[in-house]
Amino acid sequence: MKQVAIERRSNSLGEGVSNAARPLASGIKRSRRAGYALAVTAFVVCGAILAGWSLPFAISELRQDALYPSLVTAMSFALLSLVGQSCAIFPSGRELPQRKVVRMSALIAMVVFASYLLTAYVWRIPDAGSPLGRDWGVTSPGTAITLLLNGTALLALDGGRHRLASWIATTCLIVCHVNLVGYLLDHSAMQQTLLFGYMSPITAAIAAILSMVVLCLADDGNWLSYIVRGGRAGILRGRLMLSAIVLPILVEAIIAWFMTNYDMPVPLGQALVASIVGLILAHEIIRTSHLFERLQEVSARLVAIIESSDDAIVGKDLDGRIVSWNRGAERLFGYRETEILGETMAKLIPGDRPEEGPSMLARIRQSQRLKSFQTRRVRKDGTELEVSVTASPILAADGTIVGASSITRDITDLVQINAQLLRSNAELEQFAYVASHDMREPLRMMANYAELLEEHCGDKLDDTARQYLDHVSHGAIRMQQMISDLLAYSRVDPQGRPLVPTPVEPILERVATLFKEPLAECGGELSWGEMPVVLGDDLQLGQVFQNVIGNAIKFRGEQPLQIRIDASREGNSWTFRVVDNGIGFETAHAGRIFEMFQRLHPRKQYPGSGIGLAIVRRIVDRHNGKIWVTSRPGEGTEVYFTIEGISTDATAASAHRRRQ
Amino acid sequence: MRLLRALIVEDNDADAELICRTLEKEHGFLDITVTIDGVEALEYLQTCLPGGERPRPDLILLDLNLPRLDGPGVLLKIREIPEFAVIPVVMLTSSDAEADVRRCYERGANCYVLKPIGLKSYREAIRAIERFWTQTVLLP
Repeated sequence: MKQVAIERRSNSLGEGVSNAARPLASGIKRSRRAGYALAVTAFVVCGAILAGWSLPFAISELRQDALYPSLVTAMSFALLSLVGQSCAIFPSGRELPQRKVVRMSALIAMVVFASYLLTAYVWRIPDAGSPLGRDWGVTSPGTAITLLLNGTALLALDGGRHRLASWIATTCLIVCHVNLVGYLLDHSAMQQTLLFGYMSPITAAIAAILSMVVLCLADDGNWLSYIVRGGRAGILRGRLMLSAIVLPILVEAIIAWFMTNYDMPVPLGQALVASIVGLILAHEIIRTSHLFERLQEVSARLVAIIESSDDAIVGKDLDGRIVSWNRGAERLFGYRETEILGETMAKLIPGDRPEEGPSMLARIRQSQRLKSFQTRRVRKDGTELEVSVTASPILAADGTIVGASSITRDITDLVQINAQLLRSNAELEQFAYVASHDMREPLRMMANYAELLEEHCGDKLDDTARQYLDHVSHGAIRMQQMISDLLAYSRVDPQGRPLVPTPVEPILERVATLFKEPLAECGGELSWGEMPVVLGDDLQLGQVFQNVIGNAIKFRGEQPLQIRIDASREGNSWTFRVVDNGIGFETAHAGRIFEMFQRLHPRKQYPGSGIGLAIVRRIVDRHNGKIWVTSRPGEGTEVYFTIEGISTDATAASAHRRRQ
Repeated sequence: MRLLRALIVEDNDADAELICRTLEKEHGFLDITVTIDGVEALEYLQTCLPGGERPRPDLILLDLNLPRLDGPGVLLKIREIPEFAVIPVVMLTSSDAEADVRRCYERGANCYVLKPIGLKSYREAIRAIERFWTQTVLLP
């Protein structure tokens, strides 16, 4: 039964976690897919255009217009398609040949750029005729730069430096954007600067697509991957970004249209404004949406934690109406979220304690936190539960109390076990009492009347009969002693007096007084080092020392007895060590000596019932300590036990009290 | 030596006999009554009220565990009746439970004596009780 419950719990935990992780994983997959699609698009378009140059059919119409052929631009398209191809294969491109493609395309991109810088106006290839009316074609600076940027971004991506790759790709995208906007607004103005010279819009578009591919494939959480990832935040961000880019262009386009209509020249700056405004807007959108994303992530994590909790976590407003209800609450109370939202807490509180709900709310309104208290709740099916409830106010951002949250834990089992424990404890006490009183009476009778009989007919009895009677009364007396010992053992009550800071020094002084005479008789010596203050019951600790020292005296050897007690600290617990130079014993018996009525020596030689160390262990157990012993025959015994010390805070506090 | 009237409340015949014998040996001039449970003891005491058929006992030896009404119960009843409230009550019992000891003193027991084991010490205890209550202290 218990196992099933645990399994169910771990299942629900698993669900919670995977729920939180799912959007992330699916987002990455989606941005990869978008990356492939864009790369393939670029590849196909480039391929089509290249085909247009070499084949005199089908797209000849296109050749006449924007895509007019020139060998150099044909080369850049070949390059772009290479870059596109390497983008498409990149994520699986950990194998050597594919990485080679990536490096090759990057290398060629660099060579093109270098050729532009060094021989732009020297190395010219005859052009079949360009739309700009030039005879000699040359790779435009825009194309060269975007090629270089895309190639470098790919290399960075290949080297695992995703963040760098997305920065480079974003720069490339800005270059393409400025170019495209320039073409849209005022073509001639665009030619006046280095960046905008001669780059054809289709090249800019494809270079932009390739940059976006890099952004989609880099998993550093860049702005584009956030948009592609989808979800409510992604869609919202996508729309905002689109309008941030499109709106300035539209506005500028309208202005430019009017200016051309009234025969005014459109200045270059005018065209740039659209790009810059779009860029600033986009930047702001990315920043705010990052915040939004973080918030979503955090709240998703919190929701996952709350949902995976086995405790019922319930939110209420100040009228006690339920506003949130987790899965733990569904399990605990049996109501589904839809059934209970809007209902008041009164539905869950048993009829015999109607004041509980209002009094809780009243305390919440005074911004009190209700520490866990035990009460009862009603399930949907009417059964009652023993629960422990913790409630605390929910504060709005301005500090006003807007409601309460409560955590309810089912402690029915705990309460039942506790009751059982109390019952069995009471039974044990009853048993101990019966043993102490009712069993003693007949024993005393046996002992007394055996003696009385001997007294009465002493002269009529022979020695054997007298010896038998002796056995009877001694047996009874021993039995009596055992009962007393058993009682002493059972009186080490785990729920006895509370453990309080107790100095050990006075305890040892007291115990030493008890043993003054026996020690003097045997010429023994008892000494101790510096003693700490521990958390304990002073009478019981005295009992521990008394029994251990008593044993040392009882089992002393030939040489003068030396008993030494020391204490050492380990973390928050003190280890006491009681060493003697007595007769010792085989370490193999070390476990047995702590058991009740276990003796290592014949009774005649060393009297005693064998309860002493059992009581010691019970007391040490009660103090949450450990006890162990090492010994060697003829060399002596070392008894160790640990008792919890008081924390340094408590020491400081007691020192403070003393000063006061 | 004046006459000692003692009431012994003891359900164990053997114990009662031992107490009686010891007392008789020590104090020749005795009037001992033995009752075997709490109710019988109270019934007996009712006959000792002023104008009753018997005189009031000088000393009560009371066991703890008794049939029908236990020792502390008898003690409580005795202390409620002004005539008997002044009679010294000696608890003579086998229980060394602290709760029992407290309970008896709280209800007005004059002393609490643990029945010793071993004939010698048992007699010693009875003798001590007898000597203390007949020679050392004054009784009302």
